[in-house]
Amino acid sequence: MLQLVWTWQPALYLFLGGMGSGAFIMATGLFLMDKTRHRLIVSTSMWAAVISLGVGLMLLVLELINPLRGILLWQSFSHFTSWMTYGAWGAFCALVVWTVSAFIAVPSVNNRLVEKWGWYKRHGTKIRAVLGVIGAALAVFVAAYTGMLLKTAGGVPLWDTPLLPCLFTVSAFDTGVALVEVVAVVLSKKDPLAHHESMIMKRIVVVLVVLELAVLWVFLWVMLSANPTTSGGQAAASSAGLLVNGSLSVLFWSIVVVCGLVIPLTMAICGLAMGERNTRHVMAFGAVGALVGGCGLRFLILAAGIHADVIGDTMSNLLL
Amino acid sequence: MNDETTMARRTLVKGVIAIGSCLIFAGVTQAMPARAEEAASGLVDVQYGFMVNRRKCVGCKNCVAACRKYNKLSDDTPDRRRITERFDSHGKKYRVSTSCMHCDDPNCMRVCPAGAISKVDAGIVQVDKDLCIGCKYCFQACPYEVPRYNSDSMDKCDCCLGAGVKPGDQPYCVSACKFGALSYGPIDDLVAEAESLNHEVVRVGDACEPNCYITGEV
Ligand code: SF4
Ligand code: SF4
Ligand code: SF4
Repeated sequence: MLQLVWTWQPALYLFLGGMGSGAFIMATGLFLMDKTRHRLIVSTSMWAAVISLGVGLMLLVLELINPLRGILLWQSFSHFTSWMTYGAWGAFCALVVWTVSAFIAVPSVNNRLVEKWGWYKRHGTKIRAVLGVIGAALAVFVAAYTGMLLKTAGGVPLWDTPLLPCLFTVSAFDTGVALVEVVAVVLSKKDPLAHHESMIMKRIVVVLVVLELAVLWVFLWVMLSANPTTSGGQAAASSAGLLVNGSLSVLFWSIVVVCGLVIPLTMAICGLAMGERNTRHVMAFGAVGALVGGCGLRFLILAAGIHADVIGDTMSNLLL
Repeated sequence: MNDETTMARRTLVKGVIAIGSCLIFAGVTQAMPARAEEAASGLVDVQYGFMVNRRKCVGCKNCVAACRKYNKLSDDTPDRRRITERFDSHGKKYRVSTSCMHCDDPNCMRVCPAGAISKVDAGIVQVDKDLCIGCKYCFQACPYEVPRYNSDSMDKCDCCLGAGVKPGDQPYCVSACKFGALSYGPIDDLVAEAESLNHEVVRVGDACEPNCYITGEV
């Protein structure tokens, strides 16, 4: 038995929103590290972030029973006891700030602005940095929110832990870095990634993957050892069991663990060891693995999010 | 690493932390007045609820059918009542018929972004179908898997308010049960009555403080 009320659209949205957030943060990081280089990588990555989040939001709206009512944000997302409300407004603001950042980051746009507008020539870089920081803050919020949405639902024991927002946030950052790596590989002819930044990104990958492995391990361990005398504990353990050794386990181990964690970690370490040599292929392989794994993680965590059978268990206890 | 880079990174980190915490703070303070308002409105004076008798229910599903009929549920709307069956150690089958528990502290209402769910007179938890966007978050929130969906909106038990029954009056499922397996009334009274008769009384769960109890003569 799997959770089938929220299926592929919400799952893909959780992935795309997280990946977009991570990519925006990484792109802003690249820009702040060296404001004159990587102009194409930065702007393309920011556009990739905008498109990810935009497509994710569109999927979510189309999944609603009443999409038209859903886009009336001020009416349909007006109840501030719900994390969905915060998420909708957070994602909306992020989309606006990211789009502006991405637009002025386009080299030709930036050049024109600098040429035509004296004020922008003096302050343009500062404006971009400020927008980048605001956009990154919104990105952190969107990334964490994708986990908070599930955590605060409250009816699904597997999701009802602060470890889930942690897991999704870390995974959002590492899929985001992966997206920027893919962009850098694709643009390597036109805008080669500098060695220094390339090494930093690989180190970030190592740290994030190790962190994600740790959070994932604790998360599964907490769920598997949940109190079996309560309905919620039983449901949490069966959900985690679905992933670890149940019907979802083949997908979980191959896609999430091997593709999403082991491959990116190995490739990042190889890349670091290769030093000055061309690491493009290694980087691309690791990044694609991370993206596939991150996407799989959202699908599987959603699918395994089964409810407890509270009424049935209450009856069984009565009849013992 | 040059100084400018360090500075920029520090600014980035500080900015992220500052803005992140502002958002979270805003979230918390925004959420509180909404709760206070609900509590202060005084709508929830007497909480009504269901008492279901596991020894009397025969699983005829008359309650399910009456609910569908009088609430005019469309063909694509799932049943609002569900029968749960379990066996005792002698292999004897017992059943209970349940629907929404009209919880004291409903998760469904808390998570609904559109404010489509409210707790009205007699503590009935009701959905406003004209506000519902159909995000299905309420399903993930309800510990009892109560909210279901049709092509129009979320659908669940409203104690027949939508079918014209006044708050506190007997819903159609209860009137339809010929076996006396369903009772509806002020929940404290129902519990007190069953206890005074020395019948077993067990709440269907703890989460959200549901107003539905299972009973049975001992
Ligand atoms: S049983 Fe579920 S749907 Fe009904 S009030 Fe409680 S939380 Fe809401
Ligand atoms: S499906 Fe409708 S009632 Fe349920 S949470 Fe979404 S908007 Fe609210
Ligand atoms: S009508 Fe009464 S006996 Fe028949 S299924 Fe419903 S509660 Fe049980």
